[in-house]
Amino acid sequence: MQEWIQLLIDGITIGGVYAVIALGYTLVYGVLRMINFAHGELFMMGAFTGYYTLNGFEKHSSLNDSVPVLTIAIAIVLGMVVAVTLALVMERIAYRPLRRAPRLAPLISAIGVSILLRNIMLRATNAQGKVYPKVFPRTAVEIGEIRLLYVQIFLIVLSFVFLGLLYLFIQRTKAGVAIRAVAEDRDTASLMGINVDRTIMTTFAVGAALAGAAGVVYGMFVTTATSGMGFIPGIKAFTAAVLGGIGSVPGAMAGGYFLGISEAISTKFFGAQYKDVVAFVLLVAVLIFRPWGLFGKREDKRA
Amino acid sequence: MSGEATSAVAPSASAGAPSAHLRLDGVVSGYGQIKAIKGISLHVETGEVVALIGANGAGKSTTLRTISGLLRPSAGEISFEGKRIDRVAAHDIVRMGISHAPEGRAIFGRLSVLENLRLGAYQRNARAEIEQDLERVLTLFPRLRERVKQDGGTLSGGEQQMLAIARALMARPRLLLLDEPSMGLSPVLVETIFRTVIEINRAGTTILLVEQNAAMALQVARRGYVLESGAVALEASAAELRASDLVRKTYLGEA
Repeated sequence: MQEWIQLLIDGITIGGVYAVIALGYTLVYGVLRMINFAHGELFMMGAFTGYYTLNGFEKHSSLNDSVPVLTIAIAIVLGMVVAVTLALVMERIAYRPLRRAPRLAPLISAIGVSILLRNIMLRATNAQGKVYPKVFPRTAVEIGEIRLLYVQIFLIVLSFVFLGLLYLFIQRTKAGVAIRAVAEDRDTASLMGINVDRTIMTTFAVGAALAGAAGVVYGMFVTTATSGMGFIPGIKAFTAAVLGGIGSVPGAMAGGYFLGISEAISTKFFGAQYKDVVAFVLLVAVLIFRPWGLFGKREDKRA
Repeated sequence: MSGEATSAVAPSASAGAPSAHLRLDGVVSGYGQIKAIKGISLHVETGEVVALIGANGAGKSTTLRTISGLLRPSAGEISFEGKRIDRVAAHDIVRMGISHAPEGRAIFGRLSVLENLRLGAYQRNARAEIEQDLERVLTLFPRLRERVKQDGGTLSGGEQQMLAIARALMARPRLLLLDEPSMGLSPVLVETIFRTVIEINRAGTTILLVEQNAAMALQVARRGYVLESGAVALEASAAELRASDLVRKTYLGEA
């Protein structure tokens, strides 16, 4: 029993990361019908920003020890700012000029941006992973045989908070309704007075902010930032978005947790080295049998 | 800007008084290389209901989509209240006072009726006024009031049409572009919709109405234009159009 609870908690931990990143894919897909394959790199850039920020505090102050809440908050905010800035730049120069091109063109452009960012960081870091300073105690909370790292609790709670905020933003704010309107019908949205270009930028910005924040927190969790770290979580989050029905916000959230928990449970049966295989088998199976997603209906609500 | 506006008004002697609310001058527009309208000139005066009638593919919807900025004309000029609008983005044209209820009831099916209506007022900020207008359109279309929480996609065809018109009114337009409001509706509903159109006009909104249902359109309108293959074939008062051979044979189905 305790083993299962442990697996579930581990699944929820990584699932939260997948869910937060998956929202970026699904939101951008919603408004542009395009998969932003550079989205995982926004996550990676967030992780590096987090590293540089926390490392800076570590080197030049004792704030990481005295007020870790503050330094972590600053790291997360900076991670979001960097990711948002990058996303807006890539939208402007790599995607917008291709708005009327065949659908394959922006996809390839996105892969190009992804490779570019990864290699910039590879050079900038001389291919050395950056190890985060210790901001969280490395000890764990233990309840019976269940072990929970402090950073893990932080990650779980923060994922919930971000998902909740995003949901409120999409459902309740004027900008959120505009995003949903543009996702459904761009021309009619512009007849409402919605600036479609600006709404698409907002969408990229919101997705990037989530990815940037997730990068910082994930970086603290795995303690290292590397130039290639965006790839696997990125493609897993993409899988999560597809599992939930691409374009659907609740779907991306559910898909993230579903994938995280499936992976965690699979380690019990096949061992940890097979968890990526499990994730991609799920992806292929869903694409073949339920391309509209596990949780979506055939006519999916892209809320 | 104002210099341009004056010159935009000046040259078209054929198109009525220079005070025209909306004026199109030799507008050519369409999709890519295909020009669905080939030099249309027309005008709408403040307070009028003007009908645009014609067969499928005559260019009626293209004309409206060009006015509201969804399509950019490749030649010609469009001015509204003396200002050139043919290079203005669609979302800014709404702000200037033109609201377009597109054909095929292009409502947002995944948004609630209330969200649809509020989107109509997207470019407005005065909350109290928006609430007032919401109340006003829900009074105009009581059916919508019962369904404010439902998704737009769950409405019947007639209700969706009402929603499209109500939503366009939420922009508080001075000019309302209505594209085929009667399409696919039962005769009773068509009556209701057209009665509402008259009410909206009496309340002070100028209307440019596109219709295949020429009989109905010409009852409501003061003047009308007949479009044929992307050009104006006939321009006259509604009464004259109803009496003309061309309209009677082609659009009213009389022998």
